[in-house]
Amino acid sequence: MTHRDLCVHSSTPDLRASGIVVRLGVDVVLDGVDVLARGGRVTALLGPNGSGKTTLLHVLAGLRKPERGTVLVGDVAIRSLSHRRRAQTVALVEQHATTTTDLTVRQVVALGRLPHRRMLGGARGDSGAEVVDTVMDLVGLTHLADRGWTTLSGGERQRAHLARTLAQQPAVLLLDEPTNHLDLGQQLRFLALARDLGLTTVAALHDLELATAFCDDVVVLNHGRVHGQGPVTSTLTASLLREVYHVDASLDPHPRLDRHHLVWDGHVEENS
Amino acid sequence: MSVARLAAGRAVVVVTLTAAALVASAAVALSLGSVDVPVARVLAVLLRRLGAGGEVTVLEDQLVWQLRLPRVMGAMAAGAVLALCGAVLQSLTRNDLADPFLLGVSSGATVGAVTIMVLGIGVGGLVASAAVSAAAFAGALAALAVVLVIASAGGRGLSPHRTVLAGVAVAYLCSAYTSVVVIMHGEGDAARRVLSWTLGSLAGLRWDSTLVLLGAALVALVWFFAYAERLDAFTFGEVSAQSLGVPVTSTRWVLMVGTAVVTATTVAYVGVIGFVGLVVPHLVRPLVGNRHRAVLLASAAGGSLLLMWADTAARSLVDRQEVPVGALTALLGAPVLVWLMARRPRA
Repeated sequence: MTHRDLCVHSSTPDLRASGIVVRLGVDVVLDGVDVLARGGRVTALLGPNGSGKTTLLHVLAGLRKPERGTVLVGDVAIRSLSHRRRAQTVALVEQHATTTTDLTVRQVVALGRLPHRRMLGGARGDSGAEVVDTVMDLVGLTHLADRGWTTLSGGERQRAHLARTLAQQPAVLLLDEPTNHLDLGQQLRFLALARDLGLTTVAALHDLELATAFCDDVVVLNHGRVHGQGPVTSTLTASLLREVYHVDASLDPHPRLDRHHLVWDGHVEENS
Repeated sequence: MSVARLAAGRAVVVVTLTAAALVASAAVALSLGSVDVPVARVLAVLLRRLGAGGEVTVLEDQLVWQLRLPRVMGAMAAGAVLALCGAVLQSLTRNDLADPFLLGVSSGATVGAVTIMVLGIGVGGLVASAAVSAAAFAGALAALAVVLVIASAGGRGLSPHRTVLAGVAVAYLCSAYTSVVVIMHGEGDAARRVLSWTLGSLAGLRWDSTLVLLGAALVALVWFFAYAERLDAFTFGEVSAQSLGVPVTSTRWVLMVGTAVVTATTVAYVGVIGFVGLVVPHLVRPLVGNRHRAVLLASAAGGSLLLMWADTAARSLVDRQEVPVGALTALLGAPVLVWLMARRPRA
């Protein structure tokens, strides 16, 4: 089995959210959010701390029912799917999800087969173990298959989570700040891996440089509203960065590479 | 593939050894007591009762079949129930200190039992011990209902945090009632009887109650085993369980109510026996790994063994007197728990 055989979905659907409203008590966390993540592309979800990125990802994953608005995968409303079906369609790598339970890497990855299994065991078809092997190979964890979770480095844990979500064989992959706490090499390797999967991917990121390097599109959230969205370079303008992050910065063409990079003038506003 | 086969082979060995340990332990436990009956005579009694014929004395039959066998099997069943419930609740709440009494079941049961034992209310036509069992069961379910109402108020699912807090609150309320009733209305050795009930005892088990306990153990085993893979999905918390397609809220309800009902059934007959549900799951995880199918089966077996041996000690250590079995399980369990916690890896 190669990683191409993992694709059980006939196409890479768009992920579209419209008019999402989420309230937590009296606070409006998401206030009429419209998002389009194009099929097979990587969309960065940017925004300051507390702008609603995690909440939006949970809504996109169908884990949280918004007060108003709908999320469509292709033309199917995510909340209309059964729990099991939903988990076969959308997978989420949470922000620092860890455990004190010492499962092996293989067991963690095999959790991703759950939506494909019946309640009293038995996979539908018997490709479960093969899928687990394939995705471990894909993320480069085969040599760690029998290692315990608590012995893994941060980068290895994130790759194990990614493999677990891939074992779900989803059409849509949602990543919540997947590169936090990883060193530079691990950050780059993780995002390159996620990008090359060819799934419809939405990744909440803090690092604009990483977003620029690895993502096709961006969605910028600020105070629960979409402040801008579209292709990375045309969306992350100097004025947007000033309004959202209160810094003087811009995306400039890189002098040597065929892409843009972030340039910051070194000035910081007080009390932004 | 070879890894899987190795694991399967290991599982077979573990299951075989466990089954052998259970049978051998039961045979030895049946022979021990105020009067020792040699294991060979124990087997003779069992064989005769199972229709294989043979000669046994009336005393041997009485001791082994009428008194000890229901007690030994009841201990095994109760131990299995408590350990299973502990394993389920520890995973469901991701709390290492969770035990079967997390949801107020033991304190509610104590309220019921004390009401009958001290106030003598509602004994009516029932035999005293049956009335206590019935009241304890009713008290446990009432406490559970209060805990669930408090924990689910506000309609945000059944968060483990709120559930634990609600359980603690209800436990304090119940213990206030129990203390007041015992101090204000208790006569003679009321306090002593209440204390001994709260430490648990399997002395009262006869075939009728043991069959109920066996039924509860079977139901718990099958029911929770069916949820084993869903429990695995809680390893990384509730969001991750949800994203793996587990209906988190309904799973919590089913398992919390399920554990509480089988625990209440057990408590109604044998009182509050602590530490089995807390310690056994921790004890078996290093041996069989962390996947719930293995953890649940091993917990059931481990709980059976622990409580059977604790009860055998309880009835044979001191001549003509029973040591409270709950005290023995705590005596064994507390050091083991500390030892296990000290050698745990960090997250």
